[in-house]
Amino acid sequence: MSDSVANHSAAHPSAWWGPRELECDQALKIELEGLQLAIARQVNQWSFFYNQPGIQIEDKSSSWRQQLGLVDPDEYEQVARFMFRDTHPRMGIVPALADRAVISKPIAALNLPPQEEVTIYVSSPLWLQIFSEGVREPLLDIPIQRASDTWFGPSTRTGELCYASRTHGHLLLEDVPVRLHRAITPIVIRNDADTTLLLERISLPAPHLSLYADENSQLWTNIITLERESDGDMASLEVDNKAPPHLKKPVRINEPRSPLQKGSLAIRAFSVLFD
Amino acid sequence: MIEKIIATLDNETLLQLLHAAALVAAGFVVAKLASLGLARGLKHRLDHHHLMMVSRGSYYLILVLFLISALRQMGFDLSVVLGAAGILSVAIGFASQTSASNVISGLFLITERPFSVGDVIRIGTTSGEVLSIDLLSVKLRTFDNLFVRIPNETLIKSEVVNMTRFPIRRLDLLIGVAYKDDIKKVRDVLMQVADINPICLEEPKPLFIFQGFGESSLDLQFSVWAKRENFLELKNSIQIEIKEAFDTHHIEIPFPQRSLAPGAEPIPVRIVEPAAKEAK
Repeated sequence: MSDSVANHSAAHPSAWWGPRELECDQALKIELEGLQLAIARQVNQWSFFYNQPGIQIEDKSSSWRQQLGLVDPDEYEQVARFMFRDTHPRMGIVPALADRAVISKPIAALNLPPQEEVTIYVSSPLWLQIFSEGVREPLLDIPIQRASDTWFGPSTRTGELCYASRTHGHLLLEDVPVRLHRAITPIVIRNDADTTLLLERISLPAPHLSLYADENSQLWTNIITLERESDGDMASLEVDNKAPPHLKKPVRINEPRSPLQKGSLAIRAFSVLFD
Repeated sequence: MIEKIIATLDNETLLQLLHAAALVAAGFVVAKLASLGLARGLKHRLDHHHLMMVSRGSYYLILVLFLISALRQMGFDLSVVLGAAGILSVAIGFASQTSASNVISGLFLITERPFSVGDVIRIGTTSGEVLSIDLLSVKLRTFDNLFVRIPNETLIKSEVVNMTRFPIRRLDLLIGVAYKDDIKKVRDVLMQVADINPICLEEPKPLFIFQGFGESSLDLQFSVWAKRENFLELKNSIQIEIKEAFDTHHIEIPFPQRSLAPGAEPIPVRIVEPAAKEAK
């Protein structure tokens, strides 16, 4: 875990991510938006026990808490154990974005006339990763809330499997609420084609984005620009390689899962799906 | 004995015999080299079956050519041999009709590619994973781990279902609810169950169809989509969840029902408690 992340979480105890130190035979229980996670350290092993909530129809208010205590393995459905010669007392909890594209459907569909541009703030679900000192890959990489699978493509024969997410699609920055378990992406959509674009669903390329934290511990991603150059559902995607400019003191929390090699990419971003 | 044979042969025929023998031996060697060379050269361009056909075919072709020239060297009149071969091939042709048809069907299957090794196919009532597509037949492994050999002819002639061609699959559930239930409410309950189930795809949207007024129940069809690999898990999880949701919302899945009506009025059926029965 980088020092900047550790410093940020030290400065912002309201953030659920950050380094943790555990003694041997000590356990930490964390509850975050319905996810119940217990982290136990022994001399030779780290154990993670967790219960993942089902799909929430309505989003509850943001809250999280942690406490040291005894872990009863029977209370948890899932367990993951990692063996080491000697466990290091320090480990880090880091948020990450989804491992597939996230299809966002604004609560109300928007229409974008030709030659117009709009900035939408779209939220996407977060994953929780646990790193141990000295190990590059995360030991645990689970979604905080299991998101629903969905298919995105021109037909049932071609396309890709994505996650489905419902977003308010706020147009004004002031309207965006602070929520701990979701990251916000400002998307700039430009319609350079001759026809009006009906925005019913937007494909958010989550694996290509980085995570930044602001002073309220709200997580943001890079700004992405989707430029629709011709009629149809293809757009050219450009990922800005810095934090959104409206953040005052952004701290980079996590890297993209699969960074983009080139600056821009042609993707299918808005799909008028078959019935 | 041997001296007698050697005495009958004069130098010329002996030379011809040796020449022919050398040609046959050379034929074996050249055929083997040529087939190996071709196989090595085309290894990356063709798949396993095509490669085998090319190498075997070239081997036998070259061998036959050398054998024919050896026979000509010996002085045999080839027209007799060709005539005999013609009659033989007609006889063999009649006998091997099915095998020939299988071979040709196999060739068509390989070029048409309705399925490939590793796909799961269903033909008739047999379904299984394709292990190999051979010259005469296709070998399957069924899900209960049995080995099935299906002749290529059958595959060309009849309907074959490739269950692993497309990435997502639809599960059609036929549900009957009692006549007293509100269909709109049932629809909402079903849609909510599909919404909450994570492996049920949000899009394509679940399909609700009112099939008709059945004998004992209102017949509904509820179709949900999932990634092909999750199909079985969805089948189990969503049906369990539907049953639980129906129980929570007091929606009844009725047993087959019959009304007894001697005339205009049905006969009422009343359950009498055992205690009351004893008291009688």
